[in-house]
Amino acid sequence: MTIATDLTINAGGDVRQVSAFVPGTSARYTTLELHAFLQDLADNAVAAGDDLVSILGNNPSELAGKRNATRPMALTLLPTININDATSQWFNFGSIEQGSGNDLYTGLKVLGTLVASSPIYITQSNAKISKYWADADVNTSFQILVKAKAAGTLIDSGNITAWSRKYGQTFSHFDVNLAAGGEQAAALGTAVDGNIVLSAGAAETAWGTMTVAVADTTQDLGGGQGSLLHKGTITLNGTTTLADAYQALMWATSEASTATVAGVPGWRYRKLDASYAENVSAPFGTFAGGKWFVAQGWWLTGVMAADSKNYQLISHTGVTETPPSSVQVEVGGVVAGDYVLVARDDGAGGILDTEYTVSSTSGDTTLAVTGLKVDTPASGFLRIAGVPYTYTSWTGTTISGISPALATYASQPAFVPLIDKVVPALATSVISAAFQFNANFTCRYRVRNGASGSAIVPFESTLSVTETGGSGTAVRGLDE
Amino acid sequence: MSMLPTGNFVRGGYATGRIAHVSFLSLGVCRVPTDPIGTTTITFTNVIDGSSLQIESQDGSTTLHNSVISGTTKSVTLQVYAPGSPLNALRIKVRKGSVAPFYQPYETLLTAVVGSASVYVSQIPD
Repeated sequence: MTIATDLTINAGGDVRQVSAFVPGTSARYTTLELHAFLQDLADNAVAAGDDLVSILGNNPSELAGKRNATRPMALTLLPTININDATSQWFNFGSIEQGSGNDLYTGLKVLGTLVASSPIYITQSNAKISKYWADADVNTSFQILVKAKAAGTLIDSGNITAWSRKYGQTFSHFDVNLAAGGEQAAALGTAVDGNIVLSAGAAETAWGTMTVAVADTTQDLGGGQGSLLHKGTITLNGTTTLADAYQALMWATSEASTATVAGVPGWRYRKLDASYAENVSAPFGTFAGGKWFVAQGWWLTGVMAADSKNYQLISHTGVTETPPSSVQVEVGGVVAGDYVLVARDDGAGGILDTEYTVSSTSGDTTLAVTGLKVDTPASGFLRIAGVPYTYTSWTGTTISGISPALATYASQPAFVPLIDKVVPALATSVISAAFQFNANFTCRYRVRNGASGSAIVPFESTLSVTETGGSGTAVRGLDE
Repeated sequence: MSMLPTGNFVRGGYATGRIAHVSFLSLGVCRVPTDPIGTTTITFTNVIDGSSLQIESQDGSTTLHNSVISGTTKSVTLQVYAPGSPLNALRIKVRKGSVAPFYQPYETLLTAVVGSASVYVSQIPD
């Protein structure tokens, strides 16, 4: 086929396709080739056949600049010569303006490294343009014309977005303005997403187990970042893994999705708040190394216990939030009746018994502790001037549920042992209450038993507390 | 013709105009705008070899000449009509879009007068 056989031109200047453009089969003509075709006709003495252009009529077209087959040509059709939307599908590599500038079809070229036959879709005025290209076009050269102006008005200010969002691949999109004509580029990049193992159907099912809602919520993840504003909540059902949730959201935001996400069709959902940076490859955040780096603004709830550490959030204000590591300290090799004391090491061979300085009034059951550490056990033991107490909770810098009620203290040294008790009957180890890991530290632990019949040589050693907790084993040397 | 008071009147048989009663004693022929009054030779210079030349009335109703120019100069002789005739208002088109090197269409206007005229054609590469 040639351009002369694929097109007709009537006496009114209407350039029309003989048959519809078939993506993947029909070959496009450059705008330069259209110009050359018209000019070839324009110097004929008389019009002939079905292309009614000759020297009898006005000049049918002009280029901005000289003919150059190596660069896109901006072609203007004069004065009544015109194409329609369907016929525009036959052209690429440049732009076509007509109707005294009232209509403009601008070239679009997709650049970048994409998975073979990555499907491309284009949105204009928040709607998908019906495809007149084949997925395989990206394997060679994706170049088309897109209508940018109609009846003298730019369509959506000339803005379009080129997307590639195939479930199973990383996503990509690029905003392009077509107002200038010529050929504009959209840089896209896709790759196979190794985190996608569910079928599309299974991902859609997983999507049905979760809710995604947009509403302000101020939450404290407990990782030490405090209460922070989030603009939406992803609620899991407690049995959907984070890996599955990630895949469900990738499905929901893929080209084929019919889901509504945050009030917009999933296939054009980009981010929760206009002020945020986009996660182009995965709108709800990337998944790497078994961890979900959730996109900014989302609060996540309903996470399985097994996944409690496998994600991180970013607050509305941009603060990265990590889930707390809950750890414990354990001392083994003990028997019922042994007394075990575990506390922070003072670095000089002793217990740090001056961790805090506190004051209280007789009868108090709460205590203000300046500088109370975030890695204080949720409940446990307290010693003030050597006197032991227990407590049931703490928040901020206040320890509550102290028992027995406090005596009067005035600026007395105090510390919070991790373990400070007698090993109960039948036990062979003692474990502290859980506490939030903050940083590595060293504990000193002592195991003693002077009771007749089970007396041991006092044992003392140190253990390291890390993100996985800490443990030590007593060596019970009989002292009888 | 010399017996008539003006050039607008000739004896019968000289022209194709309509017969008119000029006076009680004589008959003549009154020219109409479509009657030529002479010729003009238009010489085109600096033409790109192989260009198509079209000379037509400005109202587009009549093609007066069409040819493909060989060489860089071309002379065309056309009839000239009575002043006011639309056939004297010429549109000249020179195009070369079929064979490389290509040139942008060149177009100019000219009013034909008896005698000669010269048109310098300035074609711009396309």
